[in-house]
Amino acid sequence: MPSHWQIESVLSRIQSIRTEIERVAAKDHPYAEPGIVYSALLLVLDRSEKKVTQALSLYPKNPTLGDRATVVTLETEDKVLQDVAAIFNLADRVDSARIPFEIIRALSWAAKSLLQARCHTIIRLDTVYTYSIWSCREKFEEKDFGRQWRLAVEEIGSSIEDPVPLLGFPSTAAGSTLLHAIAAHEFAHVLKNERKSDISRKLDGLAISLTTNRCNSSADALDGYARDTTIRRPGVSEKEALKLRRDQLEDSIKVAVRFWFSEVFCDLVAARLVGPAFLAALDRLTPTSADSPSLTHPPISVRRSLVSDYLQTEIPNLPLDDVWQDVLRSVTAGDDIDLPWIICEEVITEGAPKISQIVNEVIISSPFGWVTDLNAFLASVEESLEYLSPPSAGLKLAGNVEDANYFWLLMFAAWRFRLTPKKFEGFKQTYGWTERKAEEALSNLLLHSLQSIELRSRWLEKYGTGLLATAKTT
Amino acid sequence: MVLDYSQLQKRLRPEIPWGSRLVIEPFLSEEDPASAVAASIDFHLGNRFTLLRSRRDVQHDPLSKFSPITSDRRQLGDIVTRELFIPMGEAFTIHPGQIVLGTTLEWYRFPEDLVADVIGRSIWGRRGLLIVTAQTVHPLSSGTITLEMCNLGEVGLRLRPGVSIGQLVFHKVQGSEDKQDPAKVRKYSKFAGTLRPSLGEYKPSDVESFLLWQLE
Repeated sequence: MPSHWQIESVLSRIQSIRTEIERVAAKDHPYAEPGIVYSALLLVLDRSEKKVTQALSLYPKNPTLGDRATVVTLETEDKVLQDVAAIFNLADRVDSARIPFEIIRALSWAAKSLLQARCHTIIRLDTVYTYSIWSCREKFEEKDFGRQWRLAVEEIGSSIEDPVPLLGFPSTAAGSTLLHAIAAHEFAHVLKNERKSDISRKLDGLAISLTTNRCNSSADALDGYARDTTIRRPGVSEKEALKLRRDQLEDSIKVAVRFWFSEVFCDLVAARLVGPAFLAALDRLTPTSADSPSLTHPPISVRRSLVSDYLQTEIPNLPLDDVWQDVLRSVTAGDDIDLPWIICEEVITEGAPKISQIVNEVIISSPFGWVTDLNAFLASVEESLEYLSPPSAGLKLAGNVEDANYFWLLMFAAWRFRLTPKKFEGFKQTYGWTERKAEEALSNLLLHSLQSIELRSRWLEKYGTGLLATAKTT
Repeated sequence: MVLDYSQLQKRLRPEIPWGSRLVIEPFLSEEDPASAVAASIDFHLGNRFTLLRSRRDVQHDPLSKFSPITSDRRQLGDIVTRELFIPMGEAFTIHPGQIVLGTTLEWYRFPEDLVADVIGRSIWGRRGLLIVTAQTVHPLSSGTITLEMCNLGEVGLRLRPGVSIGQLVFHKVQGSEDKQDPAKVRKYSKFAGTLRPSLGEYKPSDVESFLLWQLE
């Protein structure tokens, strides 16, 4: 039977988490979206507090009845507190001045044309050197806090349908706008989640059918692998143990392949939007030692090879010249990969053309096919950068959603400039900069351009042709 | 010679060679009769601000780290800065006596033969807001312009990013016909290519070093 103090301690924990959430919520957050997360979490805590207080009030009256009910309440609310803490942990570093807040509106604007929905992006700094994305709504629904999320969204007059992605930037590289080319991959996850019935159904169906076929055709090899890796527990016959291990292997392969299909889908979306710049950014983020498969991600070598194939076959007008040679180079994965991973790799390679088709159906026009003269665009961007002028200044915008294509094209062009030794060295030498300072200036020019195209496009959308557009057309 | 609006318009065209081209990004002004006769271009307040904050036992000396005199180099508590990002549609208050560094929303890239004076709008000046102390933007400068804003009035002032806070008056530099090269941007500005307002590091010139530390 839980003591009175055990119940009190849960109440204290609720109060402690509430105080911390309120403290963080009171900070100078530039945008309102983190407030939705905090409000929703506080509503969850209110609910917990009510339940625990009720349990406490029952305690002395009916120890027998109160005992069972109290135990259940305490266990449930303990889990709720853990979930609240986990979500709060994702949203408590969203106000740092190191966050390039300038990119948020532009990113949401670019994502809007991709998702066909208004998007409210929150950026947080991740202490781990990686990118991540979470859908706030899904996260709350997953933890059974969907009602509180809805109430918090309604409180600020927003629409429950609008996605609120929580995008994690690696803390130590938040200032590098070039690296944010990876946002294209992360937003593909949101795209997939928002159109779950459509994209996920196709990807999952494909993954299951190909995995089943491959497991059937590799049945002997899998049996052998299962025999070699089975550990028989006491009381379980050898035959049973072998069957259990064999089933477990096939299930693990199916789970991994589903994750991998999702990741490759996002990689190909990123490739369609920013071309090989996605791989260039990925190279910066992932050390070569990380080139091993995991349950959730295929090895980098496989991802690189699939993206490279996609770029060459599906975006024929993209100039994959020497600049991208290193980025697109094929890397052979190690030989010591276990059989289940080999099967996953075979399935993902076999499924890649079908995933490409799904990507092309979702994003019909690639920015590379949209821009009238890609070479002229690249030449103009590079010249602007050489003269320390934001490359967006030379772009003629239309004032509609198609302008968002420039968001991705500028990312591509800036990476191309960075990776062209002659151009970047010249840039450094002209201004007497170190590599770090030159990259910082390049990042600033890119960031300012991304912010400017969003402002200019929306200005044109509202007021029509402005002065600069008039000057250019005359 | 002050350039009028039509001359500035010509400088903004993309077909103008880089030596003479002025870049302003984003440039949202509409073509209107009032602008067409003006001899300046308005600029807008950007989103980034740096606040200077005092601490206990502060002694700020921007030259101390260059001083050969040991006692001068002694590190006492210095002022600290805090950055803020205020999005469009939001505001923050600059209090009486407070100094805040801000930036222009626009990025400027100056040609070889133009300088500009940064001038605050009187609508703000009359309310006690001084927006700039370093008034001249040199040829080949590139980046957002840092504004040193101080509220000299007696009441707090609400500042909103995007507000038209000042203007640039452009002058032609005489003798600039001699070809210059973009590398000269080094000579003019250590802030080239920057976005965020910062205190910057004071680097004494040879003359200053001589006058400050080398005379008996």
